[in-house]
Amino acid sequence: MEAYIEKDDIKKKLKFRGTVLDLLKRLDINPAGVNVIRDREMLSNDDVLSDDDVVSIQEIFMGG
Amino acid sequence: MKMLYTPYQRYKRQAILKETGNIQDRVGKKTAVIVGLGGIGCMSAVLLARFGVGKLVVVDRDSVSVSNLHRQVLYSEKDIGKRKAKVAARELRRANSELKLESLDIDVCRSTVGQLGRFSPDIILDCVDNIETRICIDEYCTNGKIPWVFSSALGTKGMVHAVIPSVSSVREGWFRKVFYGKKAVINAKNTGILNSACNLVSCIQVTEAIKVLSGKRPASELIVIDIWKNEIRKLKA
Repeated sequence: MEAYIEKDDIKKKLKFRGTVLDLLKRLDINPAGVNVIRDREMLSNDDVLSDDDVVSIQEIFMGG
Repeated sequence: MKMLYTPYQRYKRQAILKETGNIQDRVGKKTAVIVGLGGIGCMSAVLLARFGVGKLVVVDRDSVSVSNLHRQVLYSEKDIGKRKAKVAARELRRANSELKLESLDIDVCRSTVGQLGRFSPDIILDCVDNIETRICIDEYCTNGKIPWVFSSALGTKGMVHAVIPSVSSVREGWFRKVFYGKKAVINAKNTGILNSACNLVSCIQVTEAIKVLSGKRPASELIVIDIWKNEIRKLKA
């Protein structure tokens, strides 16, 4: 899997299969503060990821 | 008050648009509520007022501060310390004296969101600056089957998505699926915001709102922009 962490502008390659929540725990990222996007879709914490996936992890912003 | 111009004179440049068709009469009978009069809400209010929506209700809980002035286009230096809802109503009347306009100085939360019902809104524009109020708007609109247009901006980025509860249960659940339980760690105080970014978000938000009010289909995707990178993306919603 390839995970792009937007805040740090880094790509991480890792062997991973599990939920979005599991991935964020493994990357030591607070799941409450980010959205995970795969194939132009925002995922929820319980969506399942496979080892082939490419995801982008973006900080949530709620300014108005 | 004597009408200075006929509706035809005022709106003829947008009424001939082939993309919209003449939707002026239809939108002119609708009521839009704007919750939050910050960077996005100010420009969204200006655009809807000038478009000729039938009635506009502007809602905010706050006063104008000096750090608002670089991006919140309804306020001037002389307005610092004044209530935003009242100042916004004054400026919007200057822009369009024929507009039916009301202002509401409240903090929209679970116990107050029901007050929006007395205006019988055809659409609610979410221009607030926190998830908690957005959740209230989402719940209120879902229960009342009221379309609403989510918007958010920070830094050089922004997001917009029109949610139509009466049309699709999938889109109705979109906000809940993606944002419930989340917390925005970054905000305008610690990250900053480019004035053009939030005003671009307003332009997209109002365009989506006009589509909804005129009975046309808004984008089904979440529209994400980064004005610094000149990027616009559409994410599945």
